[in-house]
Amino acid sequence: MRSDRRLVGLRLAATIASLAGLALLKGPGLLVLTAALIVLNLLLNPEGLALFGKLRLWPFLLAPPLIGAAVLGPRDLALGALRLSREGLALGLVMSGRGLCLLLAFQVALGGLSVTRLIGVFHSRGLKGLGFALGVAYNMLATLGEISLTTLYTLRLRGAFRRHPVRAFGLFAVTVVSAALRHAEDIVHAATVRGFDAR
Amino acid sequence: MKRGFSVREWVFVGLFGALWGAVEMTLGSVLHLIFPPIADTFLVGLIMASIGCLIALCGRVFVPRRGSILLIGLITAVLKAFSLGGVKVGPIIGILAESLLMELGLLGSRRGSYAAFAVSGLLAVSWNFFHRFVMMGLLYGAGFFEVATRMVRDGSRLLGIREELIFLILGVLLLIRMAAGAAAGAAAWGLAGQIQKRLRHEER
Repeated sequence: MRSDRRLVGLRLAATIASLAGLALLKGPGLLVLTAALIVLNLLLNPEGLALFGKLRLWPFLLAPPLIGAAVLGPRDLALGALRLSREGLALGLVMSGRGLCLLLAFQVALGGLSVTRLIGVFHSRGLKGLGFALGVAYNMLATLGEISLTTLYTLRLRGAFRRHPVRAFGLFAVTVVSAALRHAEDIVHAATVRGFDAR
Repeated sequence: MKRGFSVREWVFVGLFGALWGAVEMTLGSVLHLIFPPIADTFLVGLIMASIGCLIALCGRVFVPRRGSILLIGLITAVLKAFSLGGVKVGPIIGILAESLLMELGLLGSRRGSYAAFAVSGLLAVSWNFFHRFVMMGLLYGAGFFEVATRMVRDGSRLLGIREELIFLILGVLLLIRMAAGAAAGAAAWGLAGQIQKRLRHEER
């Protein structure tokens, strides 16, 4: 538990340091920060680097240099038939570097953590109520799914969505939330009889 | 003056956080698949922000304490951060900003009213307009604004329209978001009333 807490502290310190670096560094300094964040991710959260395998990352990284080279500054760089701008390309690369640093910093902060670990961290930092609420929320997701499906099927079988679609959505929301609140009351009773006090 | 939240209040904060989180994880993901963020910068954000407002403001009726919406937002953001698909910075910042704005909108009225909820919803959903600019500014730095200004100028010249018209279009988009937010806030007040009525009816 103590090593867990130390690791969370280390992750947080590394994230704050990288955000500060991001605010202060410019140009090539960002490349050094990116490399440092990749190494940190390799050490603390190797799965986080699967980010580079995701297709949606590449348009986000490639768009700024491409758009920058096409719309900013004098066209002084010839690539075949294309006339691009060195100034725009450099600005775009810095923009992409910044974005990548921010993503990697978040990976360092949250990667490798889980909801259960985070609840433990909240408890150990004196945020007992918040940890409890997070636990309730996390464990309630499955129940909410069941309640929503039952309500949805009931309303659909009665033809509510076909006859009065708007009213049916209102009824759906009221039924799901009131059923969830009834379930929440059971949790309150269970916590109270166990002597739990979040104050 | 009550000290801290009671067990019931914490459970309700967890419940409404779970409700908002569930919508973000299911409907949010599906809508982002149908309308990818690169192609759509309006509809998905508007729908998700309005539903988020509806749930969080409804939660405020059941936990009438300052800071309850912010806590609901915090729990939603944590659930979203640990959902399938990994850490996504944009939605997390969006959820936290929206809950902060809802909380600010209700600073003057603890118990709430139709008007206070509408103002609160208006503020929260308006964030959706600034979100893209703030996120791009955060991610790409000042260079983004330089590129965006140049693109607006080139785009207006290419399409043969005046630059001011682009600001007019942006203004209309902001107004639509404000109207949707106000409607979501007022609807949350009505929905919470209906839920309370049903719960009272069941108790009898």
